[in-house]
Amino acid sequence: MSDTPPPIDDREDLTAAEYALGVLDRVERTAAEARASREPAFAAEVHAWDQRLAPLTDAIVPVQPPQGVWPRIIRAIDPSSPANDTALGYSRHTVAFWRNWAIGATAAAAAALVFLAIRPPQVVIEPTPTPAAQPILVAQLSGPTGKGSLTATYDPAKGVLYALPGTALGIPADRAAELWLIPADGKPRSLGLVDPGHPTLVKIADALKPGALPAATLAITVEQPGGSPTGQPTTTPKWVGRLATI
Amino acid sequence: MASETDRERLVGAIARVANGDRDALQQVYQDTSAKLYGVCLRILNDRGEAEDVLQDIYLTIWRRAGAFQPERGLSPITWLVAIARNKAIDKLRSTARPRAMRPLDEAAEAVDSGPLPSASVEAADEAASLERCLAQLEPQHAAVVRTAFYDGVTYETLAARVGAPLGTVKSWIRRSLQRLRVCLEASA
Repeated sequence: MSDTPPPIDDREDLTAAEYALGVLDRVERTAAEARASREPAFAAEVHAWDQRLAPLTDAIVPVQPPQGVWPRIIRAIDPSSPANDTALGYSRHTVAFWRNWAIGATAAAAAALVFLAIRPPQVVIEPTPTPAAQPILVAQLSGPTGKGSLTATYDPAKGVLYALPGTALGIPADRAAELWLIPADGKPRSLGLVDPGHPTLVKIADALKPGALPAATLAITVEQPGGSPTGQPTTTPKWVGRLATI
Repeated sequence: MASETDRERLVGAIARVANGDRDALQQVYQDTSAKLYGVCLRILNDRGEAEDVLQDIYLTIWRRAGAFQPERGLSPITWLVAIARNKAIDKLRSTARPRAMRPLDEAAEAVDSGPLPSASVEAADEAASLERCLAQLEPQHAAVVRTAFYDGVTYETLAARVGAPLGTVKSWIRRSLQRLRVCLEASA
């Protein structure tokens, strides 16, 4: 009976449920995925939780993705695919399809499919407002292994970028950490060396400021003392993050 | 109601994708990409990232369609949504950029008391059972469970949002998961 609370075992292994719900951190998720590939029983438990929680998905309003995504998928599968083979027309069926899948959604939410709303109606978050002309930009640079982090904040009023190490980057004593700005053109511009242990203030050259900074990527590479001799990164970036408005 | 044919149509398309049929992948994309993009946007709150992840999701479906086993009781859309949520959560974990702090979902109580536009009697039963079982939890615990699901955030982030100690929030979620399972198994 549901009137009496079920006995709760604090030691029970709930990893499959926690993975399906999405609360595990990066390391725990990787471990759970490895376990799912080795242990069919664990994988089945994850699937069982996916199915149990599935009705929650009904409240997520579908949003038509931009037209460019499908051609990119097709080109990734088959690079020789001609461009005119990749056009994708959305049929009325798509909308009808989701109306049918909207298991527990309200009729209003189902109707909202055609309005391309971003969020379920009960969610209170507003979309990020259009940034002002001179927004402060922040990038959180993190490494692939989760080791080390750095926060970069760009103050447009002063034209400077503050690089503030969070956790130790672990740069060898005989190497230097070089910060790069990678604007939309994909070409890295050196912003100079940063001190991996202390805040560093970086002046941004005037030529880089207009238009280049918003949505640009910041990256740190490990270089020889004094920085890259070529003016371009000589190693793969270890820490990467995208500049975004707060 | 065309729902069962939708489900069978999707199962059939996934089976053809497993055989390398690109037209079948396009059909799966047409039928499901809006939902999966919505899932990604909800978790990532960033259109560019959501687009990148969406592309990755369909490439994963292309490669792993053969792993989908409908006879295991997993619905095709649940399988696809799980791929989408996991890809989006992985992306969220790998980019530690600052994200707008969101309040807890207000969906602690069910929003709808009217008739459900159900895909099938069985699916409507599942949805109703989950709502009933969530309603048996402490309202704050249910809200934290929903937020975890919709936003794909870690225990730590949840604890920061709720303003409660990490161990407390962990305990809420774990107990809620145990109670949900017992409740759902009892109503199955």
